[in-house]
Amino acid sequence: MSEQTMAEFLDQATRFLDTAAGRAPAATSRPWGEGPDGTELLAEWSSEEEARLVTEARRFKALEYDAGFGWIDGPAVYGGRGLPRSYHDAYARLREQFAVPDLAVMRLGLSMTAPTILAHGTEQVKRAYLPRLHRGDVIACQLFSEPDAGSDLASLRASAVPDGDGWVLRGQKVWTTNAHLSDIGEVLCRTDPRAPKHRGITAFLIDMHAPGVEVRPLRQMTGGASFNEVFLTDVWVPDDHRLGEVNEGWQVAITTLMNERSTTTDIGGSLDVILDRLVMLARWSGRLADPAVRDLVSDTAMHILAARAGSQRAHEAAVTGQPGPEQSVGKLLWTQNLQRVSRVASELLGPRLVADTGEWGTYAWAKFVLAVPGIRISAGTDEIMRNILAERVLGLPREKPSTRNEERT
Amino acid sequence: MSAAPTTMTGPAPSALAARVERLLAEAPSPGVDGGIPFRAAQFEAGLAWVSFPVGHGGLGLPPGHQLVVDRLLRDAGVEPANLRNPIGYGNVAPVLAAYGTDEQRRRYLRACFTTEDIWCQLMSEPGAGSDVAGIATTARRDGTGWLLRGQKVWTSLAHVARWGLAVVRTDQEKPKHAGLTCFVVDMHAPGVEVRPLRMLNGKADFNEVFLDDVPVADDNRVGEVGGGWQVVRSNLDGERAAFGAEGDEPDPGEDLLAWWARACVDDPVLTDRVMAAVIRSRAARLTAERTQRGAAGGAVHPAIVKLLSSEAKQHTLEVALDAQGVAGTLYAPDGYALEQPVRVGIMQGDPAARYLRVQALTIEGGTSAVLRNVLADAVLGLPREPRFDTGIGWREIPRNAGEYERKVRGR
Amino acid sequence: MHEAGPAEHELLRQSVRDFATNTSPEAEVRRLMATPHGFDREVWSVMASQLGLQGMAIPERYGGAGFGWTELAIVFEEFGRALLCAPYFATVALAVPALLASDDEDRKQRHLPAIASGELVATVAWRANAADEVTARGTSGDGYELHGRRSHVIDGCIAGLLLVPALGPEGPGIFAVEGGAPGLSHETRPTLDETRKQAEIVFDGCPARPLEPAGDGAAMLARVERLAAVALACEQVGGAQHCLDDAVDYARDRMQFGRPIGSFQAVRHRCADMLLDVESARSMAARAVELAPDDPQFGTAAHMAKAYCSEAFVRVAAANIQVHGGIGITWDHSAHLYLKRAKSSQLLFGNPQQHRAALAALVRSAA
Repeated sequence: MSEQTMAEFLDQATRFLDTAAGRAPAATSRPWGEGPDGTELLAEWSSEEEARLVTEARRFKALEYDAGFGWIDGPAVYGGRGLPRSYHDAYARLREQFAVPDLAVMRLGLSMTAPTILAHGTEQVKRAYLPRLHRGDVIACQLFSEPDAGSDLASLRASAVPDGDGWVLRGQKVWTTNAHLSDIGEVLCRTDPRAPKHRGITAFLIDMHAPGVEVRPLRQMTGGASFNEVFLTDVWVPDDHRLGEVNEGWQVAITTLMNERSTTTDIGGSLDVILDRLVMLARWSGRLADPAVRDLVSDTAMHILAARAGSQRAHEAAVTGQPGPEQSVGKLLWTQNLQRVSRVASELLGPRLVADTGEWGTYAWAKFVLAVPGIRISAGTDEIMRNILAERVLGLPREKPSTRNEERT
Repeated sequence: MSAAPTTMTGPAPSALAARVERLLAEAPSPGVDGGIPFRAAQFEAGLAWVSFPVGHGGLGLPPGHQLVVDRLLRDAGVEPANLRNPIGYGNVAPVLAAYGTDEQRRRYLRACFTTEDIWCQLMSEPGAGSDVAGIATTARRDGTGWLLRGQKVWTSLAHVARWGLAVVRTDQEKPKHAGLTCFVVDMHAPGVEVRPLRMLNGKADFNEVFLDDVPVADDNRVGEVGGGWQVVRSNLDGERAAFGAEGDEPDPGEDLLAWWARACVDDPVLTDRVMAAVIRSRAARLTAERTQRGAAGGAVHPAIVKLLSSEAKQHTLEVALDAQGVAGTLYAPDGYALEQPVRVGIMQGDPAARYLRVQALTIEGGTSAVLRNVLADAVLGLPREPRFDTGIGWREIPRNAGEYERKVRGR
Repeated sequence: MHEAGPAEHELLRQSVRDFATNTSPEAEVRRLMATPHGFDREVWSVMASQLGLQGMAIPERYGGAGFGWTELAIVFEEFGRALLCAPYFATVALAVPALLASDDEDRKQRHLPAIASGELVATVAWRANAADEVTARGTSGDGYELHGRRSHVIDGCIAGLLLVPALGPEGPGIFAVEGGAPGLSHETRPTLDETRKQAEIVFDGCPARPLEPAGDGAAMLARVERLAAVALACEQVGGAQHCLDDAVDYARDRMQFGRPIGSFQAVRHRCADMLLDVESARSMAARAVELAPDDPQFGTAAHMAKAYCSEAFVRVAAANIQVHGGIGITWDHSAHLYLKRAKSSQLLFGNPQQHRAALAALVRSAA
């Protein structure tokens, strides 16, 4: 496809979005008391709601892909449109103005699995999955963490043993978002137990509907089950579904994880909505005239804006280079801001946070407050983030000192 | 993990109280001659440190009984003994009582208590702060005595001290804790040079002390050769317990509250900050009192007291400064004129001065990081961190060579 | 009033702890919190008949044991540690102090013995929100009728006796309403902390009798609120202690990177900070208990304790989750139960900022 000018591209995109989705009402025009009052950080849907969401997401993604907007900066040979990244960003900003269905279920596959496949997959796998992932025909999940391998992911124990022209996988994974909805999964397995832990891991792409794959929901403290455990019992994978070289899966994992941090910190968007809601709550509480409350709310707003500015800079760096440790700052700031918002909401609501009085926009915050601890742990705990910042960004020495005979840098 | 309340045993406090009454009635007035004759009498009466042996300023009683004596004396308007000679009184004297020879106790304790002899402590070094066992100042044999060489730092009162209790290295090949020995150093001896160490508040509460082949007789050695670590340990414990103790300084939290009431603050945001700081200070003080006075809740480890107290004070004094608004930007009344106080305290000067001084509180007497490690080990029984300085000789341990300090001090 | 010494307090603590361990292990907490009434009648009876806990601080002439807040503090702390599901706080920290604060001998004779024996569960329908007004109108004879609503009544659905602060013709008062009275409707509310049940109660002309002296409700209520604050502070200390123990146990065992996570300084320091919070909270609660209920400094101490212990417990409960990592946020692990209890009790009966403001007002009026 020949490269259009940005203006022509956006024009075409607008026409598509008008037809496929229609304009969204302006965000600020949503009055207090209307619509759903949820401020959940973790999606928790009933199975009917979930099925409906997935269907709508798929429908829209298919339309979008077929119209040429599903994978704007992807290589044409794999089903992308081959345009520069700036076009992708421009489309993303434009799309925010339209009433597009909730695409959360696709997010992991598009932002983490797809780039990983593009970087490390075989030709076979690239052709088989990249178009389908971007068209929404295939949903992906990530099978990394295990009960005994959380922060220390590299110590994972799920195994892959060669078998004919493929491998047999066995093990247990945990914290898998959307496993029950997924068609494929990126999985890390140990292929050389005698090598140092980082050097004996291989990554694979598995079919989540294959025999031997069992998914069980994991209930969390908010009451919902956004995550799953996945049991792999003698699951067979063809060798062409291996991602990257044998025993070099840790590099593949790094690619995926760096992209994970950039998805959890789509900070600008989600925190802005939350801040908006918080200010509305403050107004409704009738306490905005109280200087102490104003101080609290404005302090929180200030921190959120600071984080957004930071994320903007990090994003710009990522666009030009590779996403890297700078994202860790973003994630830490994000969790700190979530904690601040929690505190303010608690302060404003008081007893209404504690029991559901049925008033719109009050008890709904309880789910938010209860989700925050999980966010400080998942996708890299706050402690690991601090270590990463200390070592990779600040260049502080690692915890083990060098011996006398080693060079000190 | 809740501790049992402390109980006191020994002769009834009322007998002790009677002794104090007799002292107050019969001794020279505490106001005369800087209080020295009164304190001499107090020493003779065994009321200086009641837990010390008879004849050395004590009565051989359990340490808790000292509170009775101190309370009665304070109520009678007598200046607390620890004010003018805090290190001598609080750190050195217990060391001499526990590890000194009879001759050393006879020679030093009385004048220490009367404050005729001021004491300092020669422990930390530029290369050995938190890692005090890593010190490098050496003592080598010279005939029947010793020669001390090295540099000490953070030495309060060295500029007025008569004697210093020093920890030095007598063996460089043994693991670091095993090669330390303690000595009493004559601060007027040849080779001792004291230089003021100026702090961020402009004052020099502390000094550096350079020891250039200072001769020390062997009868001024305290404890065994190589037995210095024990002495240091007991010293550190005493130092930590002293923090958060009810001294003669106003409590920053109570002080802030009094200011708030007088100033008729009507700003609710400031009020909330003030109340939060006041409450935090109260929590720290009550916790200190649990150990010192057996208040409700049971005794706690001294590191808990020090951490709560130092961090609460920092918080509170910052709120106190912030409350001054723009007036807090002035550093009155004498600006940063160099001063070497003989009284140590944090509540001197105006809010800005106090705020600055208190920054050091989470560093001196055991940094907050080190003390948290102490709690993790001693109270919580958490697994220890891997160590890279044990089981090898001191000389083998990787060290800085002092370039950073020299660069900062412009030498 | 009886005075017990340290040895007896140790004995009391051990008995209550054993009782809580036996009757309220985690499985029981989870079972009861999922029920609408949230407690076990059998256990409630045994609590009274074998340990006399409901009557601990009720004077002997009303069938109680005649002890005081020092003893109650121990019970609240242990119950807070175990998250024991029972209307103990409502009955013992709200209703009993309200009755004892009144001059109403008749009401005391009628209700206190039944409370001590475990037959009667009671609560105070406190005013959590400015909008929850309740007024009392005189009816023919000596009677009154209550009109209005209260949104956050602790154990409101199971209480046989509701004491309702309301504005009557003589001024503010506390009015006694029997559970099941005509004109009384209640509905259990879903709560953040399912171990403590709350009801919305609507008063539509229910018959009520004021606690004497009528019109003196403000003073009686202030006393109840301060004692409630202290009881919560004690629970918070117990809960925080549990969280600290839990975090330390986990940090000792859990291995990552080839060593126990408790050997990483970040984790050690977090645990040390939890210890500081627990011990300082203990100091504050102990001080308030020492001064309860009549010392002139008690009000100040109660506000301070509630503000401080609330925030300490929330910090410690959150830190406990953080130390546990992923498993700490799962439903099946107990950590979230403590966070929920911490957060709720922080926000009930005055949040920290309100207590700090109340402290400021007290100091100002004393100056």
